[in-house]
Amino acid sequence: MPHIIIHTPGLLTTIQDQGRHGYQRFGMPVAGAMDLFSMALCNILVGNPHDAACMEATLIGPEIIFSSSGAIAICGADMGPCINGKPISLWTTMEVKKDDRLSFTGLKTGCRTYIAFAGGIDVPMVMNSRSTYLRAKISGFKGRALKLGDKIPLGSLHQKVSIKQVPSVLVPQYRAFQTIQILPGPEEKRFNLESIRTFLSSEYMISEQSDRMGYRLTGPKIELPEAGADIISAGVSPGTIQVPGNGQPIVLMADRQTTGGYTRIANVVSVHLSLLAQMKPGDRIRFKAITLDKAQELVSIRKQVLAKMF
Amino acid sequence: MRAPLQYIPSGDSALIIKAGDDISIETNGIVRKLLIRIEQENIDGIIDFIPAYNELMVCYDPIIVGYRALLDIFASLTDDIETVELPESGIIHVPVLYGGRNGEDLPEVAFCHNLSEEEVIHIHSLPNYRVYMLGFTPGFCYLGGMDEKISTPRKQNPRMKIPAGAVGIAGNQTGIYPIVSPGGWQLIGRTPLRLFDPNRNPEFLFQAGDTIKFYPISKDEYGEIGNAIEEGRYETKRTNIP
Repeated sequence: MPHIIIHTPGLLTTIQDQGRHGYQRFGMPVAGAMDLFSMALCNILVGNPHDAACMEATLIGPEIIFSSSGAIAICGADMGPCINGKPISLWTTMEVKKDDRLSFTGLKTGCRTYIAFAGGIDVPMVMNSRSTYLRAKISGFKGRALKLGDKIPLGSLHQKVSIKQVPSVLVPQYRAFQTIQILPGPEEKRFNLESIRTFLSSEYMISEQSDRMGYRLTGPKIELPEAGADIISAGVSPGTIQVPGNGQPIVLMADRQTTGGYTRIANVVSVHLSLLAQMKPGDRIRFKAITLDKAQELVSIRKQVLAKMF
Repeated sequence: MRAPLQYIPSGDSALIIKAGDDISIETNGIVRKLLIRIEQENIDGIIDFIPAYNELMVCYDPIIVGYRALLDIFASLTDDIETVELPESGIIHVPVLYGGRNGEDLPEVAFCHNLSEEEVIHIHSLPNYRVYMLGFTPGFCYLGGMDEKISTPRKQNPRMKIPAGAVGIAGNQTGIYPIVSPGGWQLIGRTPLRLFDPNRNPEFLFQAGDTIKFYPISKDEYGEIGNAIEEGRYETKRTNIP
């Protein structure tokens, strides 16, 4: 069986796919890749289905040794990937040989890098997904982040992988300041005009208390509605922006709980969630409202772009 | 006449159907009826549902079906929503070893209300509790129906690690921790039942709309039930609602 050995694990490296859908009614979070766009691209580059399981590395990349020849692709954050010490490109298919060593020199841009292996990662499906959900310690590799010495099985390759490259116009630009597009949330109308103005005109910083579950932002306080910060607990979606009692917004990300009890002021649009997932503590954002029609059109355009690419 | 259903977008890939503004069996019943009716239709593009106290979230893939198209479909499905029949799940009986090491806060809860520990156990295990919704952690049930006589505020200092199966009280809510987690609930006991087991079919013991009832067991019974579950020969006790 082809496999890889984790020589050093990096800061937080987990196995993720498109997430665990269909169990949210039981309180089971979706999890999955934070940046679904980069995940889809690196899978396409190695001939995998868009939603095959990949490795998601956070801020500091892992060091990996290959047991056999194959192909990989790296998309997302540029952590300075090298094979046997020689720099390699992101956003393209790379061939690897037995005993090759993949390492990373250090983070240059973005926050999360995705490594796809031709043939996929052969860990068991748990409830229709291979995504690691850390808080319940399930799925991925033994329900946890990768560790030194882990031997991760890969799927077998049935055909030779052709070399592909993501056209440069499609490669996202990761910056420390971004405008993130949003839609008004379910409780937006409860906030007064002044609160909405504060929310839409201020800069917010991504705080250190940010992880796969959510990004806590710091910035000008959003005055709460008269009814307060709490709602009857109800469902939340990817990118839901909550305003808790302290008036500092929280953006819910991949490992979010299925339900929450804070007012939902807005929702990050799908295509911008991937961009946000590449921002890290200390980076700054500003929100811009768009329409639902526009947001759904952006999803369609992205889909067409991915379909046409190869 | 009930207030009409409200449709609200929640981002570009989910929408909310709101059945009311309150926590009640009636409003929650409409949420359940919506879920049953919509799920029956197997609508292309719908990928998940999150039923809550008073609203149903429908998660969808906008590539396959857009917001407006869904609203049109839902409008035709929901005009007679009240007529949907709700399945009767009966009562699911949940054994609990109250007090001792597994319910360290039982003395505090009893003291708070000037009751004996036995009285707290009696009050806690008397009602039929309604599972209004699940959330918070995989398999966690939001239960309605606890007697306010044993309402107790959360602990000042939350515990770092609460074991799976712990039964607790927080304010006027009671609940069971399905997985090991940190938390601030007053712990009064522990059930040997597994609310969530990813390797079992079904993975989750409870679903929204279920009725559950607690009953006290001894330390020996706790051990026996635990062993039976381990060996796969335990059958959850169910009875009809009288």
